[in-house]
Amino acid sequence: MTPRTKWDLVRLSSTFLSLFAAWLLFAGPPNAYALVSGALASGVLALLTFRFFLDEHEAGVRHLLPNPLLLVLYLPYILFRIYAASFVLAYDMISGRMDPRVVHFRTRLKSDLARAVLCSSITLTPGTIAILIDEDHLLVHWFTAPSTHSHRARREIAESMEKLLGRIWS
Amino acid sequence: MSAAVWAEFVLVFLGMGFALLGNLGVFLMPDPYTRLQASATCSTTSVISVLLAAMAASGFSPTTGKLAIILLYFLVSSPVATTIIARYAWESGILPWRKPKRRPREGDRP
Repeated sequence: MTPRTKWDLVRLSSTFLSLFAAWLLFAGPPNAYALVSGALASGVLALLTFRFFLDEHEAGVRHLLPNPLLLVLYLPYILFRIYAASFVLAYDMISGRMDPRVVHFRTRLKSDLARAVLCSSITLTPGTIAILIDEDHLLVHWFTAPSTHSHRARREIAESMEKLLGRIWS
Repeated sequence: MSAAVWAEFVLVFLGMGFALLGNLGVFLMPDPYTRLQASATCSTTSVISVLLAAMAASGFSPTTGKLAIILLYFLVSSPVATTIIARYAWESGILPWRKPKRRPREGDRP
């Protein structure tokens, strides 16, 4: 068995386990029918999608498994950011104080998953939308941009989230 | 009234306000990106508010857990959809709207 086959098997089984866990969460009290049909469906889906679920080069454990405590802390943090920023955006929209620009900056995060979560968090935070993400390059549409300078954009949009995410998926 | 009822009240009204603002933004904004800013982000806040209100209303029960999972899925799916729309607009060559420059007045240097 080559290392590549082993890694494929690990990816397949972890995809299957995550799908099955999600199924168990939604299925309610488990009975035989639910267990068998859920296992069959997650097996087929895992066979179809394990190549996208875990990318082949993402072999670092700390790139995939988050720090659970900090991950739980991240959710209220991002909810707070969303609420704070939506009041600001609402005020800007009503008062017409808008100056939208597209800014580009690079993230320092290494893990693909952390980069995806950063991209989603930027989009979730009102006032900024991530347009493109390509490796570590991010293209962000900023509703009230004080400048298009790359370092300033990164500092104001992403730095605080980046710090936390860098500790979650180090 | 208890604290939970007040929390529901405030959250539902926040949700209503942000949903209204988001929908107004879709009609008032000049280009796809700013429309996305208004609709996607304000509507996200409103949906989160309504889900949190429903969680406060259902108390400590299995329903709250299911609502929390729905909230998590929403937090994943909504920004992905927004980014896909923005990316399509960007790749089909739509340039973002820019704030028009100030018109020159009398006495300005050329």
